[in-house]
Amino acid sequence: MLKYFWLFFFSSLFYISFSHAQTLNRYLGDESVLYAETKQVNQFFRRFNCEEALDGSRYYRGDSLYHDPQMREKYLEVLFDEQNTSISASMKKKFIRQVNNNQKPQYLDFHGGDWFAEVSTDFNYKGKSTPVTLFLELEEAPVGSKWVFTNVYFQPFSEIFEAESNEDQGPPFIHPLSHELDFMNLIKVFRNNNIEKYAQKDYQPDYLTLFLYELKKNNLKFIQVNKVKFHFFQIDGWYFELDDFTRSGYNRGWLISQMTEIPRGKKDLLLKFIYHQ
Amino acid sequence: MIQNKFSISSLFFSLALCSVLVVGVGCKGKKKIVDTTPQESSAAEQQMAKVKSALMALLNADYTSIRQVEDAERELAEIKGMGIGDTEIASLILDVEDKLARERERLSKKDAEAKAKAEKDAFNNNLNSLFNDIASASSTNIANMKIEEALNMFSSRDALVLIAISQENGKKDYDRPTTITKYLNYLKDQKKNPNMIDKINFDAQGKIKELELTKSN
Amino acid sequence: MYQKLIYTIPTLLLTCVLFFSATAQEEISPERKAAIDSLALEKVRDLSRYISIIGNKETPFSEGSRVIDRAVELFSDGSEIGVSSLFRQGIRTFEVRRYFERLMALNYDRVTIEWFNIQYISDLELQPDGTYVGVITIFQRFEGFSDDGPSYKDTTKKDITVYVKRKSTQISGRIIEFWDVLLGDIRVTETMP
Repeated sequence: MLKYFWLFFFSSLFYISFSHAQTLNRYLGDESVLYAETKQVNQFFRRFNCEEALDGSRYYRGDSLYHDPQMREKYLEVLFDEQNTSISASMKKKFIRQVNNNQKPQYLDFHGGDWFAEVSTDFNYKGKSTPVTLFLELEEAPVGSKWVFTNVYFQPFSEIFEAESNEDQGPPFIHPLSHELDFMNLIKVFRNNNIEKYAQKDYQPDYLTLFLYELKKNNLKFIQVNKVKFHFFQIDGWYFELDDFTRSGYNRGWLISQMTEIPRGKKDLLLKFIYHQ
Repeated sequence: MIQNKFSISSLFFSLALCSVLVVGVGCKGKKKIVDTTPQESSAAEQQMAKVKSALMALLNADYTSIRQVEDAERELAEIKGMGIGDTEIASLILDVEDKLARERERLSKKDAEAKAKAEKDAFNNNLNSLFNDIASASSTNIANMKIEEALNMFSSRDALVLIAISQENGKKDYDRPTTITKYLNYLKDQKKNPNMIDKINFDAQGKIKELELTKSN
Repeated sequence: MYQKLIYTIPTLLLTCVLFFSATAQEEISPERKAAIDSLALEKVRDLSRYISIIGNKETPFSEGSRVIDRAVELFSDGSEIGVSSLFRQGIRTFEVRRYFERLMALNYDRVTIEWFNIQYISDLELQPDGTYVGVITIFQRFEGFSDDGPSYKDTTKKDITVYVKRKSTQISGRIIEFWDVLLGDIRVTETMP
């Protein structure tokens, strides 16, 4: 309840600060929800770090409220998806206490790595619209930065590589003296559909290469982007997901939609889950 | 006796003073003073002191208009007409003449500049009001007529227009350079006149070849 | 000869470093950033006005075509507008000129574009080619009126790409330094106010 009061206060502040703005066209009525909305991922970063004023204007290092802990706490409180009950109040509190700690505050860094985008798209594959999930990371270049493809999830590829082996006697293999027979047993090996079982133990199929191959062969044609979300591992011991919510009310825009504490060493497991591996 | 002695010495002293005065004054205005009586001499001295202070006033005055200089020149002419043959006064007269000539030149230049500025302001206002007319025209036809009118003031339809958006360390940052035709149409389309006229460069025919504007917000 | 070379190499290196830092690493001061932001925002407002002219039936064809050219000039080459609706699946993407031509062909009797009194301007990020890129988010209500039918209206969030590049050009012997501010792709999503 208090939060909603604060949100209202927050949005009224927005409204007042802009009510004297220059008008070129007729402006529309109640805009407080649009002020409250976290309108860009950029704004999520700035609010998370307390690097902008209520009206969205940038704070610079040296400005009195830049990284101000009190204001930052208010910002942090409104950056969660209120409708997701799996993010408990105590978890939120713990997270906020950690990132907004006076001694060792933690901030998000756009160029700091450990966060990436998951883009749900549609491609035309063999005449049918098929979903493809692309993963992109921001990569620093000699000048500036850019988003680059790091991984892809495409179900037809997974179906081929992750099919359950129906061998009764465990995984198949090429016996260790096959070389003496000039590997003549390969004829049987290549009759097997699960050919990847014969690869070295840490072999991982490279779906991105496969995907690029299929594109270059014109077997895949891009249709559109459906949804974008982000995965963050920048805060020590935490993982959170950032989603865009288009809905009525104040709690909308780019918000933390999932959150979990990750014990040291469990990050890879979570990454595998995200990549559908 | 002592009394007598005293009066002799005081007479001596008076004579000596007179001769010093005569010699002293004589250096400055021998002719006049030589034949004057002491009463006449004191009136002349007073007059000279007056003339001197008038000349000093003319010399030290702050002149803010040509009219003031002209008044001063008249006063100086009167003084010169008095024909005072004193060298100090003659020298002061030369100084004042010099000063008035300098002031006349300075103020004429200032007036010319003010006149040029007024003309420039009038020109700028005229151009700016044309810009306003274009931006607020009630119809496309009227706006187009005004555009043609404005274009007549330029050396070509492609005359350069620069719009300064900010200034840092005395160096201006501009928006992408454009042409006057595009700019006038911009005013017509956007129905706004958001920039102030900053600088105008004319060609030999007095037409604008380059217009520099500044963002007014 | 060798001595000359010894001096030349560091000078060349220094020149390269200076050139690099001047072109790539130049930090934009907050004051400059504010001026660029307002210039970019003005271009967005100009675009909005051009759209009203293009969409208005009373605009003669020749004027409409001219205004389309001016509107296209605001964009960098190859810019596209991607539109999605709350009630229809998918995004429709149009090349900007095509988008304006379509708007002109729609022939509304009148088009009004109302602005919500809010905009959000991102940081400017440097891309690998040395151009800065930013995104301006605005909210607008579009209404196209037809005298003989229902009017069309929507409320949209527009995320507009802005490219900013420092350029210089020589005009009648002097060097003019300017910020080339161009609009890029625009993502239009229908939203609820």
